[in-house]
Amino acid sequence: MKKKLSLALASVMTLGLILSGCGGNNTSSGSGGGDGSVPAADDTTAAETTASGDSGVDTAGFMIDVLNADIQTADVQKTSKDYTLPQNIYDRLLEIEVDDAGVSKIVPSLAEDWDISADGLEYTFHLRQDVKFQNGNDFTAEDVVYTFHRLLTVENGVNTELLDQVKGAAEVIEGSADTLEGVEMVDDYTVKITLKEPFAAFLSCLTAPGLSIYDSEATEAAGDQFGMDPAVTVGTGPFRFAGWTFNDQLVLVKNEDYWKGAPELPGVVIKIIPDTETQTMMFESGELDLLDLDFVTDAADRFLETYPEQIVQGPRVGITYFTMNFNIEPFQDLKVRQAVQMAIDRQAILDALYGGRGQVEHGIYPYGLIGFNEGQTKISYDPEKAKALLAEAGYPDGFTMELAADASASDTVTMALEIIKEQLAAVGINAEIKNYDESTWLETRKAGELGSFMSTWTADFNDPENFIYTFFGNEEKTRIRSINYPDTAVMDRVGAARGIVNEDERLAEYQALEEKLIHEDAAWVPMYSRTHLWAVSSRVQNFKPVWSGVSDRMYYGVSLSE
Amino acid sequence: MLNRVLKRIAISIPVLVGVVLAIFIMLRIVPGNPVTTMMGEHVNPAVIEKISREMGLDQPLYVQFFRYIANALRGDFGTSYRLNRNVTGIILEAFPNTVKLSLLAAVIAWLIGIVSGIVAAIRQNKLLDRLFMGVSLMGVSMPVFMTALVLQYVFAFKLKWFPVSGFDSFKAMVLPAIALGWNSAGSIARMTRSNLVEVMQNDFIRTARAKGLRENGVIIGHALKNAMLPVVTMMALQLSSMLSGAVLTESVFGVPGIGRLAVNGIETRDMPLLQGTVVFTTILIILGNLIADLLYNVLDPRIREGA
Repeated sequence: MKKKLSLALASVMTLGLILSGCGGNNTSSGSGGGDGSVPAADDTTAAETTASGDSGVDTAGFMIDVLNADIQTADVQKTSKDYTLPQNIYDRLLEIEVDDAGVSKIVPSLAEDWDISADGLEYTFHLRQDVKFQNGNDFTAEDVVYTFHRLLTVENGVNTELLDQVKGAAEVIEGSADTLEGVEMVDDYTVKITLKEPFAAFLSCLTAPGLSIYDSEATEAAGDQFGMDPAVTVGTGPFRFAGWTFNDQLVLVKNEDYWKGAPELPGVVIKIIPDTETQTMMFESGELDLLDLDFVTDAADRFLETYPEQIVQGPRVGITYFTMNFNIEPFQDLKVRQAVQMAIDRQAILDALYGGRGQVEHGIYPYGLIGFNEGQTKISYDPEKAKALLAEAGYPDGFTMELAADASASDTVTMALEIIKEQLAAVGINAEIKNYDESTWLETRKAGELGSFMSTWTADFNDPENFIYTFFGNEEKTRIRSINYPDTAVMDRVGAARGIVNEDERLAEYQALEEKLIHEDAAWVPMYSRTHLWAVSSRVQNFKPVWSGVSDRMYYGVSLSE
Repeated sequence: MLNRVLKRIAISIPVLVGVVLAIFIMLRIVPGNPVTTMMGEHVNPAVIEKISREMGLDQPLYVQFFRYIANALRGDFGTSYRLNRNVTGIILEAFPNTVKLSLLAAVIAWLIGIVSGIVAAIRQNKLLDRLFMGVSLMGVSMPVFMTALVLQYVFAFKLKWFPVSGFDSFKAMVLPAIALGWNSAGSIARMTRSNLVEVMQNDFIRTARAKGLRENGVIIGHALKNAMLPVVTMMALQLSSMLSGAVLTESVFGVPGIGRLAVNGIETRDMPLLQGTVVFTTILIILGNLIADLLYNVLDPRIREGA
């Protein structure tokens, strides 16, 4: 009997070994480091330093950052969500720089300087001649032509709208043209881009992560592995993509030959940690150098008190807005929309959810954006007046409306909707929260049929065009946002403003349109813009949040003190 | 014996097909096009349509289902929507981590569970018994994510004995393994204790004592091996239940294993990824149950003869 018992236990153990054996080629059975795909190199020190990823790179001394979820790809022509890597491993023709006063401006990058024709249609870019890709290839005009063409033709591509205004882009997307007419190589270091109509925000577009410049030779050779396999994913940027252990970590190593000078950081390890509590504890235990406090809003207050010296902040350049669908009763009525604008206490929501970190907005362009208008008309919180307006509109007892909640949105959005519901109830409006799964929410919204919702639009490129045109550019634009703003004359002006070549005139027109849309027509409820807070470990020097909410980490210029 | 194995495997096949069918249908009755979710905001509608077509999402459900089964039989679980990689590859990459975690958790659970069960049984109704059973009740009742958070907070964050997250060293594996094994340790301890107490009242124990054996000899030589029969089965079964616990433990401690994949799949509506992880886990659980069954068969002659 005893023999059988030990036999049984032995077989259980054997099963375990078989299971672990068939899973991977890793020889360590519980005592080792390793990640299942590489032999564990130095088990003993793995706890103190950081395990190397696929790269075999020694990551000792690297800065440690964190993301909530792993990236899809480092190919920025195939993702509109994951810009962290593209921002750091590629460069763009131009970049946005934020000065210490928080003012954004466009600066040269791979393009040294440029000329714009008087009619605003032709942009000639003179490229730097001293730039090499991380594989040693020279950067030339051919790479620019290749990159822009690939953006429009690559399988499952996104971000194509960045080139919408380039002559011939639509034809290439449809497949009726092979070459992109509007992008020409004049010589090895000169590129001429022709637009189909004047589009003043085009320079801003060129700073977007989606227009990062690729190496024609390496990218073509990499095929669909570009962005997936670190070894073949090269750019001209300050860091090289050196390792990716799925769901575990991404590794960036400094590019010693970077044309602006090698970065001070030897490299960056980006950990993938889904649990925000874990992230907080890691930061406080010294296992993280950077923590985006957006991820851990509930800990932000405590962090501000505990580590006041280690908080870095910058404007979000994003506006949170609340919509009222003109196709849904009774939002056709101006008085009803104005009543809703006045019934929502935005400051109270900002205070409750974000400890007041940010500012209440009154228009379309948030603080930090080119075109932000300090002097615009303000919307005040006035429930009494809201009630009076509702009565005038024929709804003395209010009405019932839908608040459309996207299940995938953050908890704070859900909480905001709860507060809005209460505030609307105070003026007699019965708002009912309806929950949608992400996909249905998006599809209903794009069909123009979604009830009121709250969301945030963050700048893709720093220009008012990116905001007003997205929501009020034309009938289709306003429909897919489920706003269905009906005044086509105003929308024509929004479209025409894109072509105004004189910058002062253009911004004046944008501000006039903002006044018309939000204050005369009450087309949406501007909520607030938020301050972006980061906690950095005491050894991190010179970390600055980048202006744009979707591409907020730039590791170049950051250093670690010993 | 071989007959029995074959019979069990035959019974498992409809279970597996049923699970695949259930998960397949469940994922598809959820409204909305997963491609919309997958591609996000900045995408041309024509691209969405093209991808849906390529993925066969425009085909009738039964066509999609049989295609899926046919591919799955060849070991191809499709391509993850969000990650654009082969699901089988992703799972095999994550699997060793989950195995390491589960096995370590199992060993911890067995050691703690059996030892404390025996001690409690010997010291029945004494202080030690009460203490162990109290602690094990906590183990059984506390959800695994809570155990994980408490351990993480106390031993990693406050005491700094272990790293808060990661899975790249033995030291880093300790807390996730305890968190995952704790629950099983509790139930194994309780079961060992109650079986042992029951066995100790049998006539053969009295005989053994009457022969003049020392009490330890009686317990280890005679009582324990009888009491352990159901416990061993339970241990094998719990290896599979740990796979489900791993979903939470892996998320809390940032372990790149299969549980994380399932969560990724749910969050991003990545049907192939979620289906792949569910099917894979189902196979493991079926295997676990099969082994438990066979073990019981080996250990208990009465069952063997009855078969």
